Amino acid sequence: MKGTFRQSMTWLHTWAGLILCWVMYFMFITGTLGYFDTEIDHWMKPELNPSPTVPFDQQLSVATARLSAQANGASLWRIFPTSDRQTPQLKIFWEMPATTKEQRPERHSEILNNATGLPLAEKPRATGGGQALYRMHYILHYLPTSTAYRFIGIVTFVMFIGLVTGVIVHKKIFKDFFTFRSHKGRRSWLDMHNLLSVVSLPFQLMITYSGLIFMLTTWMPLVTLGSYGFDRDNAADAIRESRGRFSIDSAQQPAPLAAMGPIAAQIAQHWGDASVRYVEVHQPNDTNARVIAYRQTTVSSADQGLVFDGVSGELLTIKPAHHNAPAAVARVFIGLHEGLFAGPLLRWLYFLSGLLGAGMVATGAIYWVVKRRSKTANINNGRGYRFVEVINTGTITGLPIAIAAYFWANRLLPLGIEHRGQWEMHCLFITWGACFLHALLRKPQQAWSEQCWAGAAVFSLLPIINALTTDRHIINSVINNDWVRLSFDMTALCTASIFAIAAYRLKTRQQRRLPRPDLSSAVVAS
Amino acid sequence: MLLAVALMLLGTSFLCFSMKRHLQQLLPHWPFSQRRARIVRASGYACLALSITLICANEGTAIGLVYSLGWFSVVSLSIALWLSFREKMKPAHNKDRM
Repeated sequence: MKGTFRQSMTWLHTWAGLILCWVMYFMFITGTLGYFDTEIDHWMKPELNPSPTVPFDQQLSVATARLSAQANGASLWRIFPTSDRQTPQLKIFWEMPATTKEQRPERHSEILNNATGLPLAEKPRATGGGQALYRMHYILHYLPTSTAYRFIGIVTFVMFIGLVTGVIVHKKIFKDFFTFRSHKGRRSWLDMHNLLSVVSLPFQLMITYSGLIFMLTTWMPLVTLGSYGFDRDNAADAIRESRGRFSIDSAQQPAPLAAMGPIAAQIAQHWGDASVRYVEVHQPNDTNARVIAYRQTTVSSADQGLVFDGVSGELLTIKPAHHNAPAAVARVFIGLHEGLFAGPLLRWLYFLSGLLGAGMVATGAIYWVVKRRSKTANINNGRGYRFVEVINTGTITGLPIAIAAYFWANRLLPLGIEHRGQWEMHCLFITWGACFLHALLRKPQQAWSEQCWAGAAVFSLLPIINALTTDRHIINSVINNDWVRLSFDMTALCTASIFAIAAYRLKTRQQRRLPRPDLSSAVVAS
Repeated sequence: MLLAVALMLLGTSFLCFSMKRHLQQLLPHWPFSQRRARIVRASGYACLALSITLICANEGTAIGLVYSLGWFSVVSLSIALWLSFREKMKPAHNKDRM
């Protein structure tokens, strides 16, 4: 801490930001890709066709028929219809009750054809998909989940400190709102850092604060401990209850399950065509049976439910989304973070805001180096500075290249190998390691420029490899109206062209030997 | 939605015009006056408010606000980059005229 309040805050912003900025960048990139996790899954499983549009009541009936045949004696069924974005295929899940207290209930799931209710004929390849990419933004990889959670909690907290101190140290937050002066060396990097942060500030504050809410019970376990003691089951029950989840015991008296057609009609009557997220059947074929349909009504991640008697099919109650104010606040923040409510357009806006966040972190990290470049050149004591520079290049351009390698691996790894999904991930990290090594061995300007060319190459070849190894190429996607796969290929091409522009401009800049922040555009778009 | 985004673009441009530096960048012959800047700024905020109201009326208040903030990021970033691009192009224009 030194000097005035603003100076101390600048110090805190600089150093707190620098230590963890690469992890923040990693979280921003992988988390942002998570807004398209299902879509990436779809691209990474080329065997699957887009599901046909089948009315909700028919899906419910065929799924129940399949569950009756497969899951006799289950205590819980769950049906995920294809009307929801998150489930591109009809999915069923069931839980067999535990026979002893120590035993955990047995869980099963199946993916069905949404028209016939039979297991899907096409078997998708083993892949981590978009889910594995997205999960890395909060559980990282190669680390025990609890350790990763704690670490990510710290990073999120530092990020929050970075945002708050950033607002304090930015002297002319309104006056410089639209200011970006290019060709001004380090001034331009600072302008870009400020511009990206300020225009997306509400998003950055929301995403970081809600990230902290996710980590609430990890970092403040005493809150539950204080209320429920060490009885974990008791605490879990209480949390379930506070979220309004149902736990219904069997009456041990068999009774036929109500027909799904009338129940689907009542759901449509209450909710119109609004998409149902999933339907639960508690204690099917028992006199206590309950059928509950859930949907997300607004930004809050809590679901509203319609509760039906599972024997008569009569609507019993409407379960509200929230039961108490603190839970409502938390669920709204979590809902905003996840963005599950967002349609395609809003989803792209989320995606862009996430990239602005990544750009904010990256420009900040680059500014740190640019600001000190002249000083370290004079005193020739640049080891720390060189370290930051290598990690910057290896992360900012290396991570997108590594992610492209993950997609390459999905298409090129032999289909039969064991732990295929794991190997896709290994490919990502091996490539990333290679990028660090490359950044270490080359001069800074060469490393940036070569990695940008590499990024342009790997992303532009992605649709070509896709066309060579599967029949899901761009033309086929257009013919079959498969917009998701088409968008994926087009996004890869856009990313490639942005890398190419950045590389080209780095080259012209090197020729003119003028400092200019051209990489920012690559960072924003990668 | 398109209308609302256009209104947001208009409103944000007004806010930009109400700032002395940007006004002089864009319209160097216009004299800057505090009074006019206030009026322009007020109309800018009015356009933004109208745009947000439109989006919220269409999408519901909760999702509408999320949309508005998302669009605002895109619109203000575009204006800032456009301003910078225009500055960069300026000497070339002058050369042409000469």
